[in-house]
Amino acid sequence: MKTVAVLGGGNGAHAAAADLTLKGFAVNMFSLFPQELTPIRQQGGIRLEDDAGERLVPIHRTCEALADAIAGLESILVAVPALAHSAYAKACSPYLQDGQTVILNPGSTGGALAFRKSLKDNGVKIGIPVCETNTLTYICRLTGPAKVKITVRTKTQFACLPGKETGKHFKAFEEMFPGAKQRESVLQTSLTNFNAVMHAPGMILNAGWIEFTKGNFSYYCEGTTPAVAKVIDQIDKERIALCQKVNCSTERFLEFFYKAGSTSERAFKSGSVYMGLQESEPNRFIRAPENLKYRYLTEDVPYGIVPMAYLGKMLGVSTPTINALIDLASLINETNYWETGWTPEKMGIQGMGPKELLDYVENG
Amino acid sequence: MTAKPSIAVLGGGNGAFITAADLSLRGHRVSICEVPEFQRNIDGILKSKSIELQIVGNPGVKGGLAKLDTVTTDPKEALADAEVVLLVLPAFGQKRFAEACVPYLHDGQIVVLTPGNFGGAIEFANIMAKKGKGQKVKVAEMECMIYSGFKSEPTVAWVSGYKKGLRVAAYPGSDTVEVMTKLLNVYPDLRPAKNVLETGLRNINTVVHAPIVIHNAGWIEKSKGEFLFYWDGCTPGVGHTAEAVDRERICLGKRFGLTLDSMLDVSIEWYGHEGAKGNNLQEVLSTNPVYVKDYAPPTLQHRFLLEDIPYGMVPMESLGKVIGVPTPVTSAIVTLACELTQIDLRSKARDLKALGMGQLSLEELKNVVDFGPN
Repeated sequence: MKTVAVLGGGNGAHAAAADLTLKGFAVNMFSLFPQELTPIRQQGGIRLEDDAGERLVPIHRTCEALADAIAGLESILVAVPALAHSAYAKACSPYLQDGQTVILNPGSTGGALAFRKSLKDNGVKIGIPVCETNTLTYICRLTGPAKVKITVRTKTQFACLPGKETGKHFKAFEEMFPGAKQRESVLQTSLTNFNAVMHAPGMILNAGWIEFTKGNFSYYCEGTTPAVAKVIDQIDKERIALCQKVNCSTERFLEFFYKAGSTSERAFKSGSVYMGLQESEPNRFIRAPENLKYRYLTEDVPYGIVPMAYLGKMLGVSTPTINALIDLASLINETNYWETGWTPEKMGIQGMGPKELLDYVENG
Repeated sequence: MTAKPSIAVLGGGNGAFITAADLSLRGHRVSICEVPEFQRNIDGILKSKSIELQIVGNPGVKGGLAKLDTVTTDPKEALADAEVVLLVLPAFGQKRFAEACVPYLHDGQIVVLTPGNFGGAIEFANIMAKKGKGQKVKVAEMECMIYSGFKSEPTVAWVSGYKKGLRVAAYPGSDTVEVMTKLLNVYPDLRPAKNVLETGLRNINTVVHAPIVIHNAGWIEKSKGEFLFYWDGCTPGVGHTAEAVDRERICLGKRFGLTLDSMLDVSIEWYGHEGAKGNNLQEVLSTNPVYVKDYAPPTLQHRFLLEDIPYGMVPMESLGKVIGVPTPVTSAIVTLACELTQIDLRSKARDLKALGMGQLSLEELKNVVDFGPN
């Protein structure tokens, strides 16, 4: 039985630990917030609810020390919000060994670049490959202590930094997550961060509604009106222009959304992002957040559209709508996301031109 | 000029009705004139020649049934006996009205745009220079509409706010004293501004309308405006954006030698007598009694974007470019407004270029607004 490490203690980590266990892996869990794993220990596993019903999935180990959790393991899956990546990079740094691979599930936009830069800044001298997915491998939610519901097992895109090693690491990833798709470089996974495209506009264009009603409306169905959908479509176009600049093939948001099973064929064929969100069965009842300090903004702006905007500046692609959303997001939350997000410095790509950037993501 | 100068009100919407009714009730002879294509706006009062003015809250205006001298779509008729001509309409209608009435203006009249928005008086004066017959007419503008209220029925309007300390400037600024002397016989609480750059940059609508609409775009579209625009829609987060626009506006003014008050101070100066108070702009907007019945617009295709972006924010952006003051927040709002409305609002703007002032330097611009062209 192959052992893998799952780092984190939220929705994604619970789902991955339970799901990988079901798939025959032995899972070592670790969280920087140990209390997140206490209920698993007490219960002797994670209660998983999915298509097949609800059952208790025993977890191989919940570790108190990170060193124990990852020692000797080939794959280290980091399933935490992007905000926590640098803390996990720092925590891992003293213990990482040759032959180990970090997989960010998901990487958001620029995750692998920033993680690798963090490792370097924390004194890691060896070249640890850092892989990332473009989105979490599940649509899932914690429904109680040590209890997780998986609605969908997402088919994600996968790439490694350096890109030339993607093939080598993809095999191990595919064993864990069948149906995944291999991409050439982390620029491609990072630029297909559809969460950022889908989440950020609604937060900014419904900020007053969210604050006044404490989120008392359905985020996608009611909050994505025709005009809000136009803005989603526009930032998707800016994202696609970025992709084209680095020869990265991509699909439109709506096509991705349809293929992921998130909307109807009719909506897909209409070409209307508005209809796509209106007819999104999995998202129909998702409520808006109670306030503006929510990951749709606090994650998807600084670790989603902010690195996209910086990549645009480096690649000579203008992103006026993305920039406008970042400016306003920064104001409403009184946080300068241009600074707190993943800047070129934090991604270790500062000062690079398009050619150097492509060379770096390929060769490291 | 008599103690109660006779008035021509041009326009047929909310502001025009309230203005005509209030001034009539205060003893002025008043005519009201709408352009023929919008005659439906005044159909309700064509025969009765009267407007019922209702009072909400405590604006200090007396309501009642106001009789009008003339209700017409013929500017010649409306302007014949008027000493003061008030253009009370959205900025996008000013050009049309200017062209319609310029031929019938006569010596000694004063024309006041209430409000001017950015460049209103300049545009009017430009049209006079081009299409007029050399009449000696002074042109001025207010920084905002003096009332807050709405037309609720074809013959009825209500008013909830009356601004005190509203600034007025003539174009050129050297005419302001003369215009003010006459206007104080109409509105005794007005105060002079240095020039039309000051009035253009002191329009609160420019600062608050678009930020609140942008940050409530989904709510407006989904509910068709079924919430209170300021009381509900101007939350703390939204207030931060409005305050940021306000700071950019104040920086712009500084480069022109204007010390612009913050919109917090402006709001309290205007509406303090009605109970407006607060420690920041968001507090004062979301609690101001004047806004008790101000619902959000029913759609995004509304003057809060279609007027306040091209006649307020885009001019701010273009001024910033000319004088080297960055306006990133204003630009962000303009960009999103264009996407939300699917209209290129920048190309429709009354910016410096559209006013024929695109080539002027900072010093030349200051000189023109203070002393006129040449």
